This record gives sequence, C-alpha cells and structure tokens, in this order.
Amino acid sequence: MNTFSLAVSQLARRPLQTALNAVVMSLGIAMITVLLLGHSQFQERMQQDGRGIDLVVGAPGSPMQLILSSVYHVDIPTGNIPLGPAREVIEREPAVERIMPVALGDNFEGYRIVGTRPSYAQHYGAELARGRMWEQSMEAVVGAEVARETGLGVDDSFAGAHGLGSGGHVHDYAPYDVVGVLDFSGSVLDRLILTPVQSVWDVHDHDHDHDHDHDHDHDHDHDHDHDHEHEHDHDHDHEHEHEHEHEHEHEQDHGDHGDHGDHGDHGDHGEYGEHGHDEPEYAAEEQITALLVSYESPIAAARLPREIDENTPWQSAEPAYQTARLMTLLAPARAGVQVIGGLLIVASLLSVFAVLYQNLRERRYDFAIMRAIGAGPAHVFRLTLAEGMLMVVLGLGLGLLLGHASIALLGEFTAAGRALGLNGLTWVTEQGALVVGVLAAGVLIALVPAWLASRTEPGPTLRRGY
Amino acid sequence: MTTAAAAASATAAIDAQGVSLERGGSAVLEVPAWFLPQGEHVLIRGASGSGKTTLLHLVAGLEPVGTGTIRVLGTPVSELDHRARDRFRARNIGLVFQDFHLLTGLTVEENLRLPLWFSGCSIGADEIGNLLDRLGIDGLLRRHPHQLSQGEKQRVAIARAVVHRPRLILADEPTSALDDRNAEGVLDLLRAEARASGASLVTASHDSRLKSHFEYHLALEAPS
Ligand SMILES: Nc1ncnc2c1ncn2[C@@H]1O[C@H](COP(=O)(O)OP(=O)(O)OP(=O)(O)O)[C@@H](O)[C@H]1O
Ligand SMILES: [Mg+2]
Repeated sequence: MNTFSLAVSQLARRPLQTALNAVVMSLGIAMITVLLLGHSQFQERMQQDGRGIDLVVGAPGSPMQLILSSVYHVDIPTGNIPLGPAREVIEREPAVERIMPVALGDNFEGYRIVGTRPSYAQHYGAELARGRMWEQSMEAVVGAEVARETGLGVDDSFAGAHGLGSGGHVHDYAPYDVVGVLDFSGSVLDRLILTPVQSVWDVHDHDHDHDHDHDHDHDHDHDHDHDHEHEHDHDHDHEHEHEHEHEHEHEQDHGDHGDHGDHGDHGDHGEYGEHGHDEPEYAAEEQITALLVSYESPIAAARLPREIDENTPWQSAEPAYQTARLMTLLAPARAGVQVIGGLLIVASLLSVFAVLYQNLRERRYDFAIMRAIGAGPAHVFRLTLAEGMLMVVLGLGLGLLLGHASIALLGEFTAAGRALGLNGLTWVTEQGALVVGVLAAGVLIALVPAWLASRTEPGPTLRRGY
Repeated sequence: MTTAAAAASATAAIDAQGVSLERGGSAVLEVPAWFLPQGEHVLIRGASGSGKTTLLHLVAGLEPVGTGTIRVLGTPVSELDHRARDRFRARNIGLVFQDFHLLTGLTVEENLRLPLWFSGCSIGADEIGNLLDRLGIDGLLRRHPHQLSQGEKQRVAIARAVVHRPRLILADEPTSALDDRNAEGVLDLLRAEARASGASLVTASHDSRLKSHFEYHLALEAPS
C-alpha cells in the first residue's frame, strides 16, 4: 500500500467525476498537442521540401499558389509557361546553379505525376530502391509511398488520370512503364511519380489525337512523335483552346499545347528530352507548370525575380518568403485553437480544485479516522495531493494520447495529412513545456486543499461524530 | 513502592496522575489517578458528557493533555509533541469507533492495510490470515464497506484496530448501537483479540450491560 494506490482507489470510487474531469482536460491537452505537432511537422515539411529552392518561375497568379502547387504539390497550378523561353531568361542570370522543370497535369490514384528531370530527384537526395532512372518518355519512377500504397513496382505499367486529384478521365491508352522505385527520402518525392517532361507532353498529345479520332500510330517512339505532335496541335488549335478554358475553373491544365499558336521548330528538348536531335533547343508549345531555381549565390536574388516579374509575362515567387507568409496567415487560427485549448485546461484544473476542496468537507471524518488509526498530517497531505495530481495526470495522459492519435489518423486518412506527412510518433519540445506546466499547475492547485486536509483535527471531529 | 511494583508501573498500560482538562473555560474532565496494568481490560463508565471520549483521546495522543501526566506503555504521551504522539499512536494504539467507521472509498483489504502502512510495521501474511480467519472476514477482502452487513463491518473494524498488533486497544462505545446478542458478540471478539495479542483493552461506554464483563472499572463524573 502506498499513497499512489490509495489515491487510485479513492478516484475509482467516483468514476464519473474522475472521468469527466479527465475528458475535459484531455480535450484541451489534445487540442494543444495537435496544434504543436501539426505546426512543427508542417513547418518541418515546408522547410524540408523547400530547401534549396530559391525561386519558382511560373504562370502569373497567386505566388503562394504557385509555390504550394509546384514545390509542395498541394495546391493546383497557376497555369503554364513555355519551357524554352522561360529557361532562356533564367539562364541569362549567371548566379543560377540549377533549374528543374515541373510539369503537372495527371495523377495516378491521387498521386501526382510530375514531368521533370533526374536532377529533381537528386535535389532531394532520393535514392533508387529498385530499378533505374527513366531513359525515355513514358517511363516512370515512383516515390516510396506511392509504391507502398498503390502496389506499383518495377515493370508494372499504369495509366495516368487527368487532373491532380484521384478520379479524373483516365488516359487508358497511354500507359506509363514503371522502371524504378525511390527509397523513402522523407520529402515530397515519396508521394510523387516522376517521369520525363516529354511523357506529360506525349500523354496529352495522345489524348487529343484519341479524342479527335486521329488515325496515328502511337508507339511512343520519339522519332515519329514530333511529327504527330505538330500536325495534330496545329489542326486542333481551336478545340484545345476550348478545353483549356473549361479546365481553368477547377484545375489548371498542364502541358497544354493549343494556346500558343506559334509552332516553332520541334525537336530536341535539350536536357529535358531523352533523345538527341540536331534541331533548335526549344519548342514554344512545350509548356510546363513551373521552373524551380536554385541560386549559386544570393546575388541572383537581387536580379532574377525582378527580371522575371518586370520583363516577362510570368511571375516569380520565393518559397522562403511565401511559406513565412503562410505561417503568418495561419497565426491567428493557431492562436485561436491555443486559447480554446488553454481555457479547457484551465477549466479542468479549476474543477480538480473544486473536487479536492469539496472532498475536504465530505471526507473530513475520513481524514480524522485516518489520523486516529495512525496517519500523520503528512500522509493526509500526500494523499490529497496525489489524488489531485492523479486527476491531472489522467487528463494529461489521455490528452497526449488523443492528440498523437489524432495526428496519426490525420496523417493516415486525410489527403492533407498525408501531403504534410503527419506522424503521430514525434515529440516536440514545446510539449515538454506543456506537460511540465500542467503538472506544475496541478501541484499548485492541489497544494491548498492538501494543506487544509492535513490540518484536520482528529479529536474534535471524532467527538462530534461527523 | 517495591522494586517489583516500580517495574510494573514502568510498563503499565496506563498511568495517569492529576489529569484535568478545560474546554471553553469550563472543566470537562478530571481524573485524579488511574492505573491499568499491562494486559488487563478496563471499562470506563460514566454518563453522557462525563468525558469518556475525551479521556480516550488523551490516552491515544489525539489531543494534548491539559494538566497532569499520562504515561501510556511507559511513554509520557502528555509530554510528547504532536508528531511524536502521531508516531506513538500509529505504533502502539488500536482504535475502535462507535460506528465502526470504515473508509468508504477503500476495500476491506485496503482498510486493513492502512494501520500497517501508517505504523510502518510488517506483519506476516499467515498472522494476518489467522486474524481474518478468527473474525470470519477472509472472504470479504475485495468488498467495499457499503457491501458489508453491520456485523461484518464491526468485525472488519475490530480487525483494523488490532492488525498492526498494538499493545493498547481503545474502544469508544463499541456496543451502544447494538442489541444484546450483538453487543455480547462484539465485546467477546474485542476481548479475545486483545488476549490473543497480549494487548490491554480500554472500553468506554455508558452501556450498563458491559459492567459485569470487566474486572477493572473507571467511573467518570462530569466535573462540577
Ligand atoms: N470544544 C469543546 N468546548 C467545550 N466543551 C467541550 C468541547 N468538546 C467537548 N466538550 C465537553 O466535554 C465533555 C465531555 O465530552 P465527551 O465527548 O468526552 O463525553 P462522553 O463521556 O464521551 O459523552 P458521550 O457518552 O455522550 O459520548 C462534554 O460535556 C462536552 O460538552
Ligand atoms: Mg463519547
């Protein structure tokens, strides 16, 4: 027998009161825990995925949307930009280290198919777990989580669906071949399917051909492909434009070709294509969603954004600035949740006090009996303190459990949670402060009733008989 | 006083000299001299308000003694500070209350373990088993007081008073609420347990039925 087991027994005698108390406190603790964990994991994810990307160049619109869609792959794109001209402008800036294209448009079971270059995977330090990198159009390398969740593996093939969320029109005649699977990198790559930009263009050329019943033989052979592309785009300029307008309302299209009537030379896509031609570098109709730029030196920051914003029809956005802005925008909501959680905790602490204080009256005779059969004031003091602390610890434990479970469930079962990679098994230092703070408040609140209880005078109480 | 008598006095269960107590300006208790040899049983008699409970509290060290000295088991409890009195009580005294008050939040077993915990003494499991056996409560350990009959409560309360093997058992009106048969039963149990552990027994009661059961008596009268 000890103070703890005795306190447990006393609490077990009034289960409803104890449970109610624990629930109120746990709700407050859980809210603040979700807030702390969510915020820290959100921030970490933002930092991790935005690391080394100094500037994003994309279609005009909301700069935050541009960042969210092309760096974090959560929002829909702002539109498209022509790869060649945009790249040329950026390359004129000597302090640029790396330019990575991002061409969005399709998904597979809700996982985005990203047309890009191998350097994009390298940027996040992703390693191949199995297979190899792509070598040609329609070859894909899938992220670790994609492989785990969809079961895609090397030598499998799949067809992308139109749009960026699951359930769009499926391009069932243009299957991708999985040639590699990436290892977990803890970055956004885990949830992406990477493919050369050319694939994205091909899929949509194909799509149009199919829709309009063009009678081309599509074999993904690039030697032929470009001819088809040209011919077809030209003929159906009108049709495309229509489709593009339509799509704009919910999801920005990607790699759409009809918009720009200027059908220049096709051919080599430079480092983007996987085959060599001796033709001029870019084709103006080759559209991508955005270019991610890494600076070699910060000098570029002083020149490149202004160059893009003032002298081109595109816009530039800095991930660091936009994410900081996002945090500022979210601050009031966070503060709101924090206040509500804090109030719940305070309310529950007060109710712990009320319970203990009421006990003083109800159990004075019990305390007197305890004193008579040998308890010192210290025993009574410790018992009351332990009861109070136990109530606090119950609420605290339950709240932490609830908070971590909520984060884990959000990370498992919600799209946003998955995108943020929410994980219930992490612990942040602020939680330590929360725990210590609540425990300390619990001690303070239990001290007064405990002291009063310990001063119960057994003699008079027993003589009175109540 | 002979040497033998002096030795007996040193280990007397109770040796009170010139004890008196005032409360709220009026005297509530006067005990000129009272001596109880170790191992004996005494009945404190007196009308309501004569100070029986008060005297038991003084002996148990629950309240400070006004004037006079009380030695209990050779220890001058009237001179101890409250901490020492608490320790002394936990070790040496077993108390039975009029309503057999058990702690309602706790099981029978927990009620019985309390005195052991408070006194810090360790009693062997067999010895406790024997006690439960004798009182016929070994099947009740997991129950709560509200699940016990009146008679079961009394026996648990008696077990709680003796489980830590105190050398002095104090019982305040243990029979006043009971019918003849039950009163006799409780008294027998108390006396048997006191004898079994070699403890002295002080019973305070205005219940005249008890008179004939005791060899030693202390008659209290409310001070005028
Ligand atoms: N705090 C107090 N102030 C004044 N008088 C008190 C106080 N406490 C007790 N008394 C008085 O002391 C006297 C003795 O009380 P005590 O409870 O010891 O009597 P008792 O013999 O046990 O009576 P009963 O048989 O009714 O239990 C009573 O007259 C009571 O009124
Ligand atoms: Mg009394």
